Amino acid sequence: MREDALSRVRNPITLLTAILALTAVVVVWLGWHAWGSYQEAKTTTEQRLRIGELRGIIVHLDEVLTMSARMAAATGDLRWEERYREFEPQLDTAIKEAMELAPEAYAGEAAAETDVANIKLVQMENRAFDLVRQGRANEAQAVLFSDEYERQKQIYAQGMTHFAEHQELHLRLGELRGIIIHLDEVLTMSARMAAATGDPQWEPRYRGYEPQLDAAIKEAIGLAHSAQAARAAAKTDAANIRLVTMENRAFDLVSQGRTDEARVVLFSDEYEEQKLVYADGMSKFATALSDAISADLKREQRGALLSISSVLLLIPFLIVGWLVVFRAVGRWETTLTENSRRLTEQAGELAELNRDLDQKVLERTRELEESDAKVRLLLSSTAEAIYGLDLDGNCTFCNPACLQALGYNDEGDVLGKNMHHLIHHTRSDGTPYPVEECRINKAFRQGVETHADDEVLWRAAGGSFPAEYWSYPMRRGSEIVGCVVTFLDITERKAAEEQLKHYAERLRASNLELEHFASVASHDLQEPLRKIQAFGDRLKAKSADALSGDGRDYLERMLDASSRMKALINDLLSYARVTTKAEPFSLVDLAEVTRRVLSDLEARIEQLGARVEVGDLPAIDADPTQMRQLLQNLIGNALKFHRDGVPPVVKIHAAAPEDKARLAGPGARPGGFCRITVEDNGIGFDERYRDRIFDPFQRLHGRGDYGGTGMGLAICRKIAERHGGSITAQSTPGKGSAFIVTLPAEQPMREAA
Amino acid sequence: MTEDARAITILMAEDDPEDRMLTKEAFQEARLANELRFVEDGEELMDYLRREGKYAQPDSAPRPGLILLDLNMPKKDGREALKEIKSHPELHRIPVTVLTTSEAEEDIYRSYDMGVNSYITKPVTFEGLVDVMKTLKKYWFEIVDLPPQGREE
Repeated sequence: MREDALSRVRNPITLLTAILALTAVVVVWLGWHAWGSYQEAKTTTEQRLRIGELRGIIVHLDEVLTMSARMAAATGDLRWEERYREFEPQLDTAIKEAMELAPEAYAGEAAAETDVANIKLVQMENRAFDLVRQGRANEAQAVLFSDEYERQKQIYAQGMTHFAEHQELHLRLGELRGIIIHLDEVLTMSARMAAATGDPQWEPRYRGYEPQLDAAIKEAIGLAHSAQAARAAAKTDAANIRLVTMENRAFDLVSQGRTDEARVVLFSDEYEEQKLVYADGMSKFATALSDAISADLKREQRGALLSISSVLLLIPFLIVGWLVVFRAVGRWETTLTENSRRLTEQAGELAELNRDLDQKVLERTRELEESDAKVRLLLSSTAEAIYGLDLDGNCTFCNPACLQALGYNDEGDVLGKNMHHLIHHTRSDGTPYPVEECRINKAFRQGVETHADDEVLWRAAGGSFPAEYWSYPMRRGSEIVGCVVTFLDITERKAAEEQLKHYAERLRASNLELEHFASVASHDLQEPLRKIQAFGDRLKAKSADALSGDGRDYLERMLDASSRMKALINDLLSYARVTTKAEPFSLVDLAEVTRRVLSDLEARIEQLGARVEVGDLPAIDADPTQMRQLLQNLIGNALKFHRDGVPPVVKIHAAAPEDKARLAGPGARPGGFCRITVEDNGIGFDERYRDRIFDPFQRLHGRGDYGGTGMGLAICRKIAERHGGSITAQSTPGKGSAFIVTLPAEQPMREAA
Repeated sequence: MTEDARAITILMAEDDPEDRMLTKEAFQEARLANELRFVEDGEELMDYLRREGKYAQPDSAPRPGLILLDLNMPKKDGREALKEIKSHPELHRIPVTVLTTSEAEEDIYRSYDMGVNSYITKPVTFEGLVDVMKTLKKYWFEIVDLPPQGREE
């Protein structure tokens, strides 16, 4: 490609060079041609002039020769032969020259005939001269005036007329000049012959030629268009008139027989003078004609010269022009070469870039395909139904899970369709769900995420199912271009929820029943107890005297037993109520609860001289009443199980809920656990029993030693467990005990069932 | 102090016969001279107060100046009866003291909510009961002025 470009560049250079050369050639040729034409024109004009002249000369000379011969024959004077010989070679030369100049006029039969005629004439003239030399002048005359001679002269004259057929102006002028000169000579000769011989037949000849001369002169003047010629002609005319006058007088004299006088006239000085004037005039006319012809020639020459000059002038311009062009082309070529080189370079770079680009594109395409495949895999693998919407709410993509959930077989059934009208058109209660209210549409148009689980979606087959969906707007930069919706069929979950609700209901109902039963039971159980106690008292009051000591003792034991039973029933009721009368969790300030409990136990504390230290206690999610129960039991125990003679010292403190690290593990709660410790300096217990003490009705001491039903700690444990916590104890017999309650700081649902 | 407090009839609604017996004895121990009438359940109580049913006959149901009301009774329990009494245009004026084994906070709250005049949890011991009676006598008949009875006839 590069080479082509370069070669295309070179070709024009070659082309231009060729064109330049051609132009030069053309110019030169034109110049040469112009010069040639000029030369030719000049030559031709000159030639033609000369031809014309020659024709005239030839004719004239021929006539002179004839005249000379005839004069010789007439006078017998051989001086005429000298004249003849003098002019004869001139005639030959003229003829030869004419033949050279105008060969075409001399081609052909006519020319041959003319030639033959000429030879014959010469022969006869020579014979005549011989005869004159022999003194036989009359025979010479007979020859020269014979019919044969006249015939040959006519043939010759015809030949000359061929010559004269070339009617161009300057040729004609030249011709006329010759004719005029010749005719004038003829006229003079005729007149002088007449005067010499006294023969009257010369006069008709004279008269014959005279008008021809006039005509020729007039024609010449007319053709010459030149003032100069006209003037010369006029001068000639004047002389001619005088000569004519004199010749006419001479003829008159001859006709009168006075030939001597005629001779005198025709050979007089005046006649010669006039002839000279005439000749001068003629030569001036001839010059004027020549000048005119030259002027024409010059004009033609000038024209030719002009064209040559213009051509010559053009050459430098052309050269300059071509040089400029050439230089421009040269520069252009340089630029082109440079550009071409640069282009090549750049093309190289481009090719390399392209290769890189291709490589990168390939890589990217591969990456894209991989990522696309991954996305596709993700979309098809996930159990969640996912579909995308454009701004009009039409589906742009959907995954297999989506199709399956909605009961469509083919992507095509869903793609491009308006999803709200397809699957989200009606609410769960059957009322139509207008698209303006559609939460998905509203959300993504506002660029907000949305989540709902109380709506239904409609299947292809027509039925609906409860669905939980999340809608996220899709952004390109800051512009929202659509959204992605994921949904789950929560039919099962809803059913499970229903069932859960159902079970919760039943549990609640069951608890209520239980509570009712428990309270009623306890009430009904307590009633006989009251009676026993009441009548026992009555008995004691009224009839104690009537009883024996044993009797009184039995009565006491009975009454004791009944009070124990009452306590037991109450404790059992409390134990049951940890569940049935559980209140919802709320934030409980344990410090406050402790304060109240201590306030309730104030009397006992004072009575025992006990010291109670309360540390920082947190606020936790708990059942307020149960917390009170818990603390009351624990603190009560701490007071109850004091060492004899040792005032109880009770310390209540808590470890912070932040202490998650130590308490993390299964069941770990978000807020962590808090540990509340109630420790005392009481009697303590063997740690062997530390689990048993939390069992219902478990006592480590006889009933008589320390009061209580053995339910206290069981209730505490039940409370702790209800809260999702635990209780444990540590002790050193004789030193004291510590009861540690671990409770979550936060409860997941503040409203317990 | 009410004029002639001794003339006031005290009506007790109590289903338990032993409790009735004990109360009567406690009454005596407390030297209350007032007439103590008993009804056994809420229905009887309302019949008595409205003088309907078996108390339709005039003079069979002298208007009580104080009602002692047990909450847990068959047929109609004390809570319902209390409600009825305290919404009755005439009967609501009669002071009602709930005397019950139930110490449930809810019962206490509900009773006051319905307008009971006082709530006493039945003492466990007989002495306690006697004390309550003595206190009742002192409070209701010596300290407190009761609404005049005359106009309601």
